[in-house]
Amino acid sequence: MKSGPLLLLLAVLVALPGCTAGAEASTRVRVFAASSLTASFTALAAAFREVEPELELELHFAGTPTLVLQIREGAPVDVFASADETNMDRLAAQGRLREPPLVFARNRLAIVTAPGNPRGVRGLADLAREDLVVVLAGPEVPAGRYARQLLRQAGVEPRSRSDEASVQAVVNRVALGEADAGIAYVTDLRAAGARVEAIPIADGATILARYPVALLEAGSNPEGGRAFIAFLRSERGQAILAEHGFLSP
Amino acid sequence: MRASGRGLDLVRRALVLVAVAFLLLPLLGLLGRAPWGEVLAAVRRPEVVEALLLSLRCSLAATALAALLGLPLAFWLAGPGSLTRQLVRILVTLPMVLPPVVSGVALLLAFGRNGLVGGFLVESFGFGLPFTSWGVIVAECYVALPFFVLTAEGGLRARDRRPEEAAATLGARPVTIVARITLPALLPTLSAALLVSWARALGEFGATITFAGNLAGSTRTMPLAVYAALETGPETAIALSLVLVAVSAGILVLMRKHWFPIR
Amino acid sequence: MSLTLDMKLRRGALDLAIELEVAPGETLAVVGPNGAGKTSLLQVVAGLLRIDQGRVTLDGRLLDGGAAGTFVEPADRELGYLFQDHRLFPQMSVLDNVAFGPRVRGRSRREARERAMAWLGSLGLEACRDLRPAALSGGQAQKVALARALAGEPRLLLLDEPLSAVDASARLELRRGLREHLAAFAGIRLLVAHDIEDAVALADRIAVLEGGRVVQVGRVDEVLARPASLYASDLVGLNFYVGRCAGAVARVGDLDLVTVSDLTGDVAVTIHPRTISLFLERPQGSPRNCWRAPVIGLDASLGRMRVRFGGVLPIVAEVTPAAVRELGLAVGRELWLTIKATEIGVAAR
Repeated sequence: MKSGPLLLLLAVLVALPGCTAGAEASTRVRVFAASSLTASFTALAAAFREVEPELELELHFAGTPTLVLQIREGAPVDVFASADETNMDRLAAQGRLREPPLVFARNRLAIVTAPGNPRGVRGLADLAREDLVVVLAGPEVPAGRYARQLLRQAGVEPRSRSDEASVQAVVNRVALGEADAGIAYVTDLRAAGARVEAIPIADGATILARYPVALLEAGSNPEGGRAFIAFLRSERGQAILAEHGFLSP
Repeated sequence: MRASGRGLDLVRRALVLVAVAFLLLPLLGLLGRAPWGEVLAAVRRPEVVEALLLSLRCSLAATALAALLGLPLAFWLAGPGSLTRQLVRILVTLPMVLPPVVSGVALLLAFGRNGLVGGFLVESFGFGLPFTSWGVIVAECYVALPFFVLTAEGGLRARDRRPEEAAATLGARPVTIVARITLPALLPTLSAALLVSWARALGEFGATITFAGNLAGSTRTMPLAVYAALETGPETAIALSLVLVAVSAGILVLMRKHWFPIR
Repeated sequence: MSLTLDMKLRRGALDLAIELEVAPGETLAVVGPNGAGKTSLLQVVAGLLRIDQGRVTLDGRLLDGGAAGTFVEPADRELGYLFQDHRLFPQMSVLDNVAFGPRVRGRSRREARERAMAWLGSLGLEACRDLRPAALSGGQAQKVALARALAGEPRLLLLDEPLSAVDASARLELRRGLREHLAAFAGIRLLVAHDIEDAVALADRIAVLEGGRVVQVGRVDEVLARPASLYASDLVGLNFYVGRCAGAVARVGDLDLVTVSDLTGDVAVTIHPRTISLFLERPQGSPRNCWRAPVIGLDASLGRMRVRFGGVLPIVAEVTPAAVRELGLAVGRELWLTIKATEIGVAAR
């Protein structure tokens, strides 16, 4: 009777690895994608399966810097879709890329407010108003960097009550009512739906985020990876990205 | 029986070695990769010092708050079993199970500007917790409180009640008994409870960044600074982490007599 | 001023139904086998256990009126409890332990310490004042525990096997000291004793507790002379005398008994019935305690025979049925009795 708990422990240890069985390496295409691509890539994957039914697409989403760290530490990944070119260039400099990166999409920024825009935010100049709680992504996050560039171009000194760790966190702050306004990607706002309102930024002061994708050295299925990158840039792939608010490259 | 006893002893020793190695190897990894020049430079950077001091201030305040709120709760929970106590114990365990980021969202829903209580706070006192150091303390306390309560409760349950009975027969009131008999006898457990809750508060990231925000000087504690540094490259993050590890280890060494009494 | 109990209590295996009265200025010893409920009885009086039914009153004041009735907290019962395991506060000095009672009962810090010092002085423990309890010997801890129980000026003193945690060498002296302090204590004394000699030495009356019931209560000599139960006859059924001792010789009745005691003055003498040897002829050699007496009664009791003798010292011997046949025991028959000096219990009185 005394060995009961021990046996249970062993059984759990033996059973655990069974939960993580994955596809065979030859048919699996493992893709790392920036978190802002979550909704669009999930839709893309469904379409890709129709085109290439024999390939098993495995998507991992996280903040771009986290993905870069994992790739640098040797994660076996075939394709990497980054939210900015800086991070991709770093990997290229370290010889982690099998082929040069290609930009497959662009993204625009917009001002985000509560539904109905109760505080009457009309443009970037309003983000200087003392009576508004404004949050931006941190300067180390691509979207945060773009937002700050955008504000400076418009002659507004950027100020943020909190340097959020991601664009998603900016959207959540506004959606929960903690902040009055922020700056986020158009695509994020589209995904957030009715929880927030997007205020477009005048064309004159638009900075476009560019999303590069590349085939990685560490991957074991370059053929499958190439097929996915080609699909991203195909008419069908671009149409799906456009549905989610992305601009073509 | 004797032979199997020796076999078990070998297994036990092997497991001890594996456990020590398991804890040691990641630390060695950090130390091996550490840009030592950068570590020394980091300690002198004002924003690092600022984050470090903020971390220490907030984690100590959160620990004190957890002890203040947690001790009476632990006493109550250590009382005779009842359904209410079981339910409250589940409630206490909840922040340990919740992903910290979810804890942060939950705190916003309660104490945020539009939260259940937060709206009242802002309207009545013009004071909101998010984006302030108080918010950091509240977030850290929320995740650290269970560690304090459950550790203290365990000690309270296992305590020797005989001296308390003796004190009662000598004419001591419950408050006197707690102050002069129970708490002094419980010091090792309370120290352990303070230690684990402080450690949890010091390393707190998810709930803090979600609830309090991330701004240098007021809400950017060391873990948040480490995370921000991670965006630009792991070396800086490692350097900052090592500063945090070194400072906490230093405090542990200084306080070891209180926290790990050698019997 | 007296303590009266008329109570019932059931907790798991514990089943107490006790009626008992302790008079002012009296020491009542509760004896009984392990698990009889002796300690529980003290806990009931102390308020550490609540009764289910009945009443516990001290001086006419209701302390415990049973479930949902009045209940006076232990702190308000003005008692001193000497625990079997002493229960000194490990993190306090000896002085602070003794000063605890007076302090929590409202004395100033200085007064409490002065009282504690006085008690330590009367027990010869001044030198231990700054020690922690862990540094004390068993005998010292017992004395400190007694001082702590008495320093709060209780009206009721509860002693749970006060000498059981003390080694045999310290026991005699401690017993004598305890007896003096009990005599000096004006209130009610309730004592639990596992060792019958402690009860004999310290108590005025004995209550025999078995299975949670009082099976016999009476003066010490009465209970010892006429044990009313299995346990009492086995452990309590001693020959008990009050006599005077001068060195090794104790005079009881009209007989001088040689003992191994070194006491002087009034003593309680106990002789176990089984330690008495019976002979038809005067035994060879020279047993020091040897006399001739007539059988005046025979009681079969639990497989053995209790033989009552008259003569210079009324005494009861216990023998096997085989010995009864061998010796041809019958009322009126005269026999020789011998007792070894080492078998005679002597305690100061």
